[in-house]
Amino acid sequence: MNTVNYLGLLRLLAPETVLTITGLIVLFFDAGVMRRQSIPRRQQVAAFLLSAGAMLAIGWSRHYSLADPNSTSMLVIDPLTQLMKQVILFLTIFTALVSLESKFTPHVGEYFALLALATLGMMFLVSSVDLLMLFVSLELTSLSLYILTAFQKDKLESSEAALKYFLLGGVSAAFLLFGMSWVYGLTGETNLIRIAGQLRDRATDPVLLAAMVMMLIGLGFKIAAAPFHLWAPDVYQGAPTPSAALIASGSKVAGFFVLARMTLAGLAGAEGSGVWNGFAPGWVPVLAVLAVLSMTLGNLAAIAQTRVKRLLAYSAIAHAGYMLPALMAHNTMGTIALLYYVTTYALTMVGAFGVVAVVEQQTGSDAYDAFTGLSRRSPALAVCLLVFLLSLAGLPPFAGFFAKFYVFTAAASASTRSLGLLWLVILALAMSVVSLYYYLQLLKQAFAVDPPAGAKIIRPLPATLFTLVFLALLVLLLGALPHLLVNKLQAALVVSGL
Amino acid sequence: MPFKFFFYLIALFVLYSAYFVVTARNLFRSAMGLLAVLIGIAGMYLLLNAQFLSAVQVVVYIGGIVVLMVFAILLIADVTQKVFEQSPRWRQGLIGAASLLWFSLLAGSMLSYRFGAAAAAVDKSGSIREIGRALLSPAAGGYALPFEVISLLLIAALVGAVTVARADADNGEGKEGKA
Amino acid sequence: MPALNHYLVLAAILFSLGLTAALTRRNAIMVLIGIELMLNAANLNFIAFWRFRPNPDEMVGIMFVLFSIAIAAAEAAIGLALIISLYRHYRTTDLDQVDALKG
Repeated sequence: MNTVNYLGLLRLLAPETVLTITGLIVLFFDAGVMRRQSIPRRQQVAAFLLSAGAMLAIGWSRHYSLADPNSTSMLVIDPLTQLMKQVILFLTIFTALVSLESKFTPHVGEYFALLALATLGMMFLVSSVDLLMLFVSLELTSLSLYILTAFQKDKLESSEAALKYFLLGGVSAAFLLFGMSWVYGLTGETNLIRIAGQLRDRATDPVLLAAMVMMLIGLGFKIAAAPFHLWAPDVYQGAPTPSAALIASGSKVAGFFVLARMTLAGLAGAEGSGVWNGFAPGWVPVLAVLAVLSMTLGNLAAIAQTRVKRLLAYSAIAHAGYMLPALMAHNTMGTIALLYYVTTYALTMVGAFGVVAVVEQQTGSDAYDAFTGLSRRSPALAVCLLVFLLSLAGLPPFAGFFAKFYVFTAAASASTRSLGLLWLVILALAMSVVSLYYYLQLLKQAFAVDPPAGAKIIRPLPATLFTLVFLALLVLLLGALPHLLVNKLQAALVVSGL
Repeated sequence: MPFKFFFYLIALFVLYSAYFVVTARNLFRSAMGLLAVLIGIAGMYLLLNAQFLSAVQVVVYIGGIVVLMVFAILLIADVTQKVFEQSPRWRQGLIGAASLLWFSLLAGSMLSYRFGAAAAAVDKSGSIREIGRALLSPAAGGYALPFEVISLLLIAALVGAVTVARADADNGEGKEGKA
Repeated sequence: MPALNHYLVLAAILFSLGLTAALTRRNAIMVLIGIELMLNAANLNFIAFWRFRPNPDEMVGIMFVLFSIAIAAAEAAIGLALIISLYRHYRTTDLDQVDALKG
């Protein structure tokens, strides 16, 4: 076994290192060189620097050496983690480009540096296979996101949303830590793989079940699954729109990936069973409860909304509910379905928030009324919105359709006996129909209603418009040719063996 | 058995202080209750042979976090105010009952497992030398990696806390002056 | 030497009390204090488990607590910054009066 030195660690974590340096450069360049410039100019420079750094990190993440499993027990670097990191980095670039549109803070350098730090947290989260590493990177992500939420200091909702996010997040982090302490006590290990080895033959210890529930509370908060969703609507609405976009996309990808790692690798053997009339204690029935609650609560509450960001929040809760059955299937097909779903969903969400950011910046509101007659006021934006919302609703030929299709087939065929998780799939399908109603309502407002007299033409910045059109095309492309992403995921998954 | 005696003494102290935190009707008193709990926990660490952590607990938690809290309380709250708003009684009762239920679940599952039977304490102590070595070792079993991540976390906290708490002169919200 | 269970029960009680404080108190700083109690309960668990494990060389428990204390400090700093920023708008830290976001 070769000894690992610090340089070796840095080489192992080249993308993360690049992004760290980028974040610091953005911070100091803005504070030192750009201080006297106008805010839009500073935003452009900072966004450019961050995007360039992220692109460099993406390039670097393609050249990695498989980590010697003995050398570091904290991290795993394999094709799958690198692929997910690339997804997260792309989401950060899109978020940075979308933030060009909104003017919400004079602290430009700090904002973009924190975007980089939040992204770093997510990247470490994706790679971590150790409870300690997992907790530390989760907190790095969360703390950065709390602050990103509070960045619009002249707006009261921003502070309020950040405080609520922080307090609920703090409680859930305490639950996570307490659950981890018991897992450590039971096994004496913090490495997920070794924990699974220790737990193999005592799956139904009451202590393990309690610890598992506590850890799932902590992670359920991260993915905004009901009943731990209370923060989501307030944060999506109160946060500056670009921050909300990152919370809804990158944080979601990292959260689901780490949840998958925790349950599939760390708690392997403690699945229990969630099939109809065949419940057995384990993490699958816990997730089943979360899934049912999220789907129903999210979709029903979304109907009553009158503001687009709140609508997206409740639909995010519902989508968390749709994704959980893929995890409960706990097989390769389910994992691929989950990752495909969460990736396409995150791309769609960044796009949707981008449209909202433009409309909000130019009309001052994200209420449905602000979108009235959008198709006349800005046809390109309206078409982008159409693509994103129909993809969220799960209609073909958009990416959202195949995402749902894969998840539902994976869940339905998961267990051969007693029809498996079919009951969940049926519920999810019914709820998807409900969701179609509220997405179409918003689209009706944008396409069928005439704009009010005197409504201004909405002109997004060229960079924003380019980003949104690119995202819309990506959603279409992944919908038309889903195997582009699925094949990649499959190849990566086979090597990594999650 | 002096160990047992000290354990119960400190445990009672911690529990009483924690109860005081939960019931105190004044923010400042609550913070003092937290201070007492933290001192008690530091004592527990001593009993458990984790001297270094006991010192860290005193320095960081008591010297850092509690002092920070007291500053914040003095900055924004009227300390002379005897009583502050509490939730309605029914909600308090409900949450109290829920917490009690939660605790009995924890205790029940714990007792059914019998951690105690399996564990026999061996003599060991985390000396500062060992901790330091482990903390910065990049090899297997070392903690250099989380150490680096936590330094990022502290940067984020530093940048973030300053940005958020600083009063911006230009948008006229900060009449309070520097925080 | 008190048995491991004693420490664990103490930690469980502390956690429940912290949870009660975090959920019943309507003041943001009080909720933060409750969270600190819960984190301390978890830390106590770690150290107790560490002490009672047979392997004298392992450091995991100690390390976990060391990192968790550092995180708690960062968390408290950010929490108090957020509280101060909210206080500028509302002149209160009472969560029941903080209700601009609804729906």
